[in-house]
Amino acid sequence: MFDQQDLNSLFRYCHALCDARQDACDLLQSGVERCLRAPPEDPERRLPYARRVIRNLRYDELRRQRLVAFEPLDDESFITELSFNSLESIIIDQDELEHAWRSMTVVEREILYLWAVEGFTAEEVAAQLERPKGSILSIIHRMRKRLQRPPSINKGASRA
Amino acid sequence: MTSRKPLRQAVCDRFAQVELDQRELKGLLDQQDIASSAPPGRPVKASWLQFGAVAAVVLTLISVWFTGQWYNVRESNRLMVAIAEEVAANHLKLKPLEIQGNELGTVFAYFGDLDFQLVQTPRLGRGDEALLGGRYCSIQGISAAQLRFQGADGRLSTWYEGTLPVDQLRLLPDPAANQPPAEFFVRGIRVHIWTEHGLVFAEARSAR
Repeated sequence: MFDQQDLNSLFRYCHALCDARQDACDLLQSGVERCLRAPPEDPERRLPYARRVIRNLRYDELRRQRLVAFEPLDDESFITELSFNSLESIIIDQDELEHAWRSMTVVEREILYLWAVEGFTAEEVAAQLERPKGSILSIIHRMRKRLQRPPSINKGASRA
Repeated sequence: MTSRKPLRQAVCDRFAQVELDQRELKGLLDQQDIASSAPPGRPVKASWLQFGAVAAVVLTLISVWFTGQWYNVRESNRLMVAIAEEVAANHLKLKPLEIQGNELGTVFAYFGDLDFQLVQTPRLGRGDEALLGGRYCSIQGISAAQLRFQGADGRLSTWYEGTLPVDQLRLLPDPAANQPPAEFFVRGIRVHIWTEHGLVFAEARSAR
């Protein structure tokens, strides 16, 4: 079902969700096992299907640990125009990214990964996360504000 | 301080090094090989659950059917034992005949107050027995006809022809459905009970 390239892509996705190698490996193994037990109807859609399975597994785990942060929705009237374009203009170095990454929620990390690595649009991210596009744009808006702050302000406790 | 770059590039670079090692990769590929070599079909767990559910339903239906059968048998037996007790007692008492005669038609004509039509069954009198007469009696509280016959050896037999509610008649053996009459021995009397033409029949004679 999954070749080496698929598995590495899914592993990176797991890593974005877990931000820890061993957790990501365990999550990937559980996800693959679940996909083998209940394969997707369309084999061509195996990767989106696997990402959804993995995401559900991760969020179930976080819910059990009560670590899921609920994101308040901002006023969407002015952020709908921003989309991912607002992130394109951000210039950052690797250290700043690491600082910011550690302060992000799991949803923010997931969105940033899908946009930057997988090349998803806001609509595609919304479909993958099964959330309204407005909610995704709201999260992008908050991420942008955080990423544009000076590094010293970005430093903080890691969030799930 | 590392070089500054667009956010997208920085995120891509961050994940560029994130890869499964050979051992992890082999484990995942092997996991898929094992799964693909398994026989196709639904997950074993789900199949067993479905099998268990079907088996539970079948067992429930079978047990309901057996309970129904057991109840019918018990009710049938209870009814026939009660009838056997009743006709055996009547046979032993040998109460005086209300009409005497050896012509079946004449004796039948006497029973004009019954709310059913007497039927002449081939079993009646067994051919070599002489009709002595008859009297009114009751079976399970419902009026019935009692006929008395005497064989060449002098032994008496009494025959009963009556009616019962349909739900009780269904519990009796029906020779037309290849069910032989039920046989009971009560107080030294051999009693046969069956249903025929929508009526209940009983025959009582000495068991010796």
